[in-house]
Amino acid sequence: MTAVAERARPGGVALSARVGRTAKLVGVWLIFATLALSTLYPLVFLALTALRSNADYASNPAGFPSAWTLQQVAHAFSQASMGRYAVNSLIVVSVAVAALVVISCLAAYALTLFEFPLRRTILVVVVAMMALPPTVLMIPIFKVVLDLGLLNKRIGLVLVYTSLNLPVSVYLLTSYMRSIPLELLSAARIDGAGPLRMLWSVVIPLVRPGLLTLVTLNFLWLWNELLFSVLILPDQNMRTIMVGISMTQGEFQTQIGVLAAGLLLSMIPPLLIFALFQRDLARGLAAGAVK
Amino acid sequence: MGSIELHEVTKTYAGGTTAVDEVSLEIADGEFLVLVGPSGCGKSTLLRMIAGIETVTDGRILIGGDDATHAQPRDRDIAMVFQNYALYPHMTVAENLAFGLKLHKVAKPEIERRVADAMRMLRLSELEKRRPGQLSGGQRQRVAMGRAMVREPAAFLMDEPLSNLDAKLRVAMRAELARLHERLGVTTVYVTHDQVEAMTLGQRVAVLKNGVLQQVDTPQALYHRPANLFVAAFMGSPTINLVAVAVERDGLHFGGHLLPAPEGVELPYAEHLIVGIRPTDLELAELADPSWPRMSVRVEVVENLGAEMHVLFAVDAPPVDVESARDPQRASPGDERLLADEERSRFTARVAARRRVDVGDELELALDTRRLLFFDATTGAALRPRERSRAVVD
Amino acid sequence: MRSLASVLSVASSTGPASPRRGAGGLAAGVRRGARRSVAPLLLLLPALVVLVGLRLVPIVDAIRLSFTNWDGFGAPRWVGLDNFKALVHDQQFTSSLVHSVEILLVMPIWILVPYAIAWGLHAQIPGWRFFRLAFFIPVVISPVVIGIYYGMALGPEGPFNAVLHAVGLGGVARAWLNEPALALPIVIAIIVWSTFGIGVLIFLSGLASLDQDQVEAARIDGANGWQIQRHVVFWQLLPVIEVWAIVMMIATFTAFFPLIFALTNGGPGTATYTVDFDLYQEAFTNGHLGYASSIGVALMLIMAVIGVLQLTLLRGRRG
Repeated sequence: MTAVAERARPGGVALSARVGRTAKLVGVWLIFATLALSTLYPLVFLALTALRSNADYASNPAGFPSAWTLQQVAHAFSQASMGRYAVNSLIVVSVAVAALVVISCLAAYALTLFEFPLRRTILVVVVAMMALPPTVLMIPIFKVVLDLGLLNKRIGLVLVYTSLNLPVSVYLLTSYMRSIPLELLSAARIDGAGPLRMLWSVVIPLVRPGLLTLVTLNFLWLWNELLFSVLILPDQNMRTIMVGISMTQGEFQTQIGVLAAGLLLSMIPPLLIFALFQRDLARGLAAGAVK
Repeated sequence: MGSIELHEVTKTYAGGTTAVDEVSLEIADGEFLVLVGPSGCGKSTLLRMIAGIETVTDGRILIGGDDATHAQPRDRDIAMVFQNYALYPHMTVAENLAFGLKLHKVAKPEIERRVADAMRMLRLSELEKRRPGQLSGGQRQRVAMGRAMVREPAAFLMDEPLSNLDAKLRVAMRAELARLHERLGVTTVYVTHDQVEAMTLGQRVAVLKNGVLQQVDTPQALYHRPANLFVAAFMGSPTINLVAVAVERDGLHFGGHLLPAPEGVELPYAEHLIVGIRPTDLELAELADPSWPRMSVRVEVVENLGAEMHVLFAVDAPPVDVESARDPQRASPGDERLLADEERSRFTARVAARRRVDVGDELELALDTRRLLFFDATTGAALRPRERSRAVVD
Repeated sequence: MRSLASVLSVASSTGPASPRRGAGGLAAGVRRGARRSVAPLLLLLPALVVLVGLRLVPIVDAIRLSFTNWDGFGAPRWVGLDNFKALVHDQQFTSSLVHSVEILLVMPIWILVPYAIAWGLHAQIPGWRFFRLAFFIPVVISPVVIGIYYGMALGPEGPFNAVLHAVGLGGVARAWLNEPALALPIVIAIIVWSTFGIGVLIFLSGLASLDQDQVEAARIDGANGWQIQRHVVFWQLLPVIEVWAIVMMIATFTAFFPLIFALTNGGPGTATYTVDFDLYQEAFTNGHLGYASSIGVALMLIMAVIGVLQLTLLRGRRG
């Protein structure tokens, strides 16, 4: 593959070598194109399926619709309550992300820029929690929510969502905050900034890219989340969209267009966020892994 | 009132290292005092303790007569200029200048007036709306100065504010700083590792080493009457020539040379002392006062400086290690030598470049023995040998 | 070295100063300084409450519940080691474990695929930015959506079979996800498909920060492309590869529940059960929360093993 990376030296390279290189390039390109096709096809397929009648689909599942219709989409909203599920998701996820940003910001600030007993221990524990996936704790977490009387209440899921992503969010923000030059904070102290003023006027503006990454990552994760949404909001009216479409799968088995429409609807916010913030996302993910 | 008093101020860290060791100092109102020393000597730590951004382990700090030892930085009437400027990157120049005033609850019209005045004085008016990222190093430095000025504090604290500027700009800014001090008359405590800067800017200079105050005095006094080996070696460029001499009845013996003891000075006999000879106290024999003693040397290196030149020659005596006076971080003495050499000292003479001197020449130099500095060979402390006649130096 | 935090806080432990003046000024500053040391704990409070309540306490609970036969109603009843004894003989659990391990076995491919793709993208083939985006799409789509989509696509009347018919391979067409022997491999393939985008991104940024000087030095020494890969690139990327492998290992046991739930619901039969899916099933479909907690404990042990593996890898490199 390195051969592809080299810029072609002018002259002096045998024609056969250049042909070989080009062939390799074409081969690689074809493989990539096939893969890209496989990742883009779902979007296309679902869009097409949502816009045709079930009969039309049954007759030619892999091809184009012979007639376009918005009926399935309408049914998705009216009969399958996709709209309501989407709104549920929106409420829960937005509140959770907001809570996450605020709480993790305060926590990261306290953990990186202050000195107090147990600081280091708490930091280690928080980081260690990242290693313990919540899946392992699905039963006790369910029990906590049950005991708090928050089953089937949106706030219950918001709390769980916050706890799910808090360690990672705190960790991400601490690494951003750690890179703030010391002198800047000293200057702010001399200028007269107290701790909260420092956070608001100096620290937050400087970690804004980190906050952005946080918001996008958390929104994506939580919007797509299934396990805890199913456990904590089982009631039909409270379902988030992911739960909604997985339950719908059984109920609307034959109405494939409706299902497809629901799927499409559920994909819009993540794809939108992804389109808008893909660079920040990439940077955030990469920074996390390649430390 | 902008006087600052330090009473046995000490800073020890958790691991046991002492960064500042019982430093006592009195800075008068309006004085420009420079804290100088090699890296790690504690000068920045001391400055930060005065600012309040470093806690004080022991001792007291008084600012304007009030005990400020444990006061918050915002409650001390001080402003600070940082080495890396520490400007708020997301605020404009004007906002950077105004920030501290806003936090100190200064009235809005007053803020605007002070900011405008500072910008005018520092030629920043056109840069008002820019962000630090769009400014040059020199401009950022001026904004950092402006931020301190608008606070109209009792004292300015400056932590190596010129080190990040290129050489030419640094020299120009030094003059500007001096003029500013002249104009504003505010007490200034200035930290630098550059002894040239210390000498040119300071009304008084405090030399620190390993957290201990070595000497605080006017630049002239530090140069001519250093309190110990370290101060003598630290101040002055090129570095002072040091050698251990044996004192005998006929004079001072070292490395095959014999110098008569300076007139009218009583030295203890038969003991080893360390003698310091400033490069400027050596001169070409033919140009010097005939009463000055002579010494013959073999030239090893010649550095031409135009009107003057540096002549380096070897002296057959082991080099005096002042614990790497300029840079304690240096791995080991002798690191500054590229090639292996026998244990010999290298002396520098700064002489008038009146004639041609080549490497390998046998040269006759004259030495003003009245300017010799004497130090105890064990403690490094300066010896003021009892003089029968008036001191020549001042 | 000075700690970041020590610059900022004036710890009240250094003792109060004697205020000369009465009101305001330095004295007030001192009092404010004393109050200040409480501030960080207040800031930390909401986070601590959430984490302790919903992470730390549950850990203890998870272990405690594994010794009970709780069914979700009423109080849990102690049954000692019964759950664990049953677990050892539980065929469903054993096969779930086997399935999870089978997913793990794909690790070499799981690493190689993103590695190779990242390499190709790094070489900046025409359209590489588009490809990078496209490859990341499965990561952005919810596993539920992926599951249902593939359920549709690979369904007996779905487009995949339709295409097979169209090209004359009608005989091969079948209900793909209903074949016990095929279901798990298909699920594994889909898992790799849905995660390789992250790997690509991570390896890509690893390649971007490659020490070019070393590559040049190797080239001058006479190494060809393949040797450069083996001796220079691979070693520099090793930490990245390790991170990726560990992340995927953890994910194998904990992250693929939604996909399986939506795609096969564990079927056909229990052919696509993984450990975390088994946990869910036992707890919330069968109602044996106590017993399921013992599966949870088993899962914790597996996580601990992976954690130790990660630490030894880290220490090995530092040493």
